[in-house]
Amino acid sequence: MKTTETIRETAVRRVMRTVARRRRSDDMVKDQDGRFPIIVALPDDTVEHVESQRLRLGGVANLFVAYPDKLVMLEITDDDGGDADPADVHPGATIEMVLAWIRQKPTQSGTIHIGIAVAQDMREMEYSL
Amino acid sequence: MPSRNDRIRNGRSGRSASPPPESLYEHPSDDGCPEDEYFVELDPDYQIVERVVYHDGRIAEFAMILVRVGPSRHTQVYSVDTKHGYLHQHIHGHSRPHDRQDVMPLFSQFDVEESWDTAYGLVKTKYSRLE
Repeated sequence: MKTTETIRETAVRRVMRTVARRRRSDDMVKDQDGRFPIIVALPDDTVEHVESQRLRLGGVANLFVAYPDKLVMLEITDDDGGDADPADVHPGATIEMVLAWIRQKPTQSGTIHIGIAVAQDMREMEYSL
Repeated sequence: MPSRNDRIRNGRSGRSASPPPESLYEHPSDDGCPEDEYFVELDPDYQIVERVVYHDGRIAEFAMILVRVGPSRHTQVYSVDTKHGYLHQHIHGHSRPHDRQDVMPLFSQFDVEESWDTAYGLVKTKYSRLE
């Protein structure tokens, strides 16, 4: 059935299958309508690319970073909760750079300032087949 | 047993007798099972919306909807869902009457789960033809 799918198309398909088959909604953030906005990013996508999607989707989103053999998921909101240690991030920085910074933090969460975006509760998971 | 000519004709067209309605799977809509709605952007103008009903932690029913995003409202362009015992598509997203086309019968919750890939392929195919 699969024809010539781009890497991004493959990532979106895998994420949508994974969230459907593994009911991860207890770990995901909802928008004001009770729905779960999803952003699928590749590690080399820029912060600006993800941020523009977040704003179009209403401000909160569940970001899934798609690697060849795993997903990394984190919630993105616009409430920094008074974080005392935010990072100013260049819009051209990659998502992988942001994740590397978050991995160093004990809470696996962090506030980045491009607009105001709070990335939190990072976790890894396997794809569902 | 169908005649030889009927069997040849049915084999060429892929037609077979419709499954009896009582054999088809339909998840009860009022049993309090959780339902989640996810949506992802394909591009700034289109989204896929996925509604999933779960039973015992597994997919019991789902719908996938291709949505065109407008400045003031979103429009359903196309959809696929598993209600009424069939994986079926609404080729105009319910915007016109009688736009339902059955894709394949579903006899169990397992069939519903397995039909996910087919459903997603149909939605992506529709999206690719819009561009």
